[in-house]
Amino acid sequence: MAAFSTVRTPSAAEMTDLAEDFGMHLDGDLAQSYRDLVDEGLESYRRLDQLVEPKLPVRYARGPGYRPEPEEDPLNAWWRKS
Amino acid sequence: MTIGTSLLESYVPDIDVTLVTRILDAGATILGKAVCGAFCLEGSSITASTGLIPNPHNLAHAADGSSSGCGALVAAGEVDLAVGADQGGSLRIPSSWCGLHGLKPSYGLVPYSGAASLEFTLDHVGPMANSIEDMALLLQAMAGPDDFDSRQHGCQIGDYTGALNRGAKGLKIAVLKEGFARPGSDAKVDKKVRAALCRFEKLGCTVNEVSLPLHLDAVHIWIAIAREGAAQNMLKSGGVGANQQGYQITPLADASARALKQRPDDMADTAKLTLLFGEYMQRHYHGRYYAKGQNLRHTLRTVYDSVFKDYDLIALPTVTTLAPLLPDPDNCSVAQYEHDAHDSLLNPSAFNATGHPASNMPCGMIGDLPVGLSFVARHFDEESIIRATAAFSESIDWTKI
Repeated sequence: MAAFSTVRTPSAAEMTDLAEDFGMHLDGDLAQSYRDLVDEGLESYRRLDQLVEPKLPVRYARGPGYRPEPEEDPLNAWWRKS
Repeated sequence: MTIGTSLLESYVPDIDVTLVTRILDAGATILGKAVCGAFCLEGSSITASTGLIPNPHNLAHAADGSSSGCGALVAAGEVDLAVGADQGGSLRIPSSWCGLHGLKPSYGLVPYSGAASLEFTLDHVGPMANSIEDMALLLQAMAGPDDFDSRQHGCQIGDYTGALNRGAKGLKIAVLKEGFARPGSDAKVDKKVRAALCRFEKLGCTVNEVSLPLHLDAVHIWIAIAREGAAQNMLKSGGVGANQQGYQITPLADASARALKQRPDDMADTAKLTLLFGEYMQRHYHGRYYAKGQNLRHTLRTVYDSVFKDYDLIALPTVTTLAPLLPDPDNCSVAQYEHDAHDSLLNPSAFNATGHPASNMPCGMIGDLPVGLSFVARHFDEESIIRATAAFSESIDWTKI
């Protein structure tokens, strides 16, 4: 089964537009070659979608906290309380 | 300095990089500046704006790159030493294919200050030479902090020339299974590298195979960092930019900005593709893959470090193939340029991501083309690489095996 990934391959026309933003002329077969090479290169990003990135360790229980009512926060200085 | 592109042909730096000053201090003579591949983005010496660079061992084949001029000039004996930059294998690949001793040092060991940056977290610069003795000498002259380069943290300078005579006895070598038999690997290259590794047992080393499946993903992690990083940092802003301290080459920022406006079409296709691809990923995915790549490089480093608990060196083929034939420049597709570059960096790019020191040691010939073995060591343990390489080089003439 092919690995699930949402990374989208651009069209040749999108490559042409992107090049134009840099003042580059890219069209016809060459734009299609660029599109094909981007499609191949996206293999790496599709693979990255499968890999689990490390996270900083969470060692203490944590919740979302809450926004205190004005009575609980007379100085208006709390954003959230835990 | 042109970084291999005609866009920057009128740019002349107004300073010497730290490492050049150190080389001159050590008594060497600078004979010139070698050609490199367009914006350092190649693995096959075919993208420089000045044309193809042949391999001195067989002129029909590529010297490879992107430190292609360095590889060819050292191999041909026009110079004794060269300094190459290496962000994905650019000094180890031409060293392998031209039969040189080359070393990408630990990240930060040799100051990068004043050299054109491709991607700040992948930038490395190191020595290339015809002998391990010359390579160690050049490394010794260049290594150490210069207070200008924030790539340099906790630098530990070794006794590299002293390591030449210490022998290899007692070194533990892990042969990385996943470095061999990769898609596109040349079985003859794998065999030659394994044969060379067998010789290390006679030199008093322990040699065992280890398996690290994540090595196969290293290139993907590297690409996530390199593509967007190079597009944003080098191609869009001349390697000068926000969020980093250290020496910044302001005249190069000016020259790059002018060049990009003046003659954008003259950029080599490989560089254009990196720029447009990187920009596409930024515009549509807003740096999330770059960020994930940066996080995953931490996992990758930990995986190789786990081997270094039991071993001193990891060994694998530097490049999985022999030097390819030079293409016909009038009849070479963008795809061929791109595929050549991609295939050659499969093994070496991993250690730009992790920052471990990684070398090329010539270990034999197939026909008239050299084969290279790469040793990887703990951070700042270049000495072990030099010990193993010097012992091997003393025991046998690699051009005869």
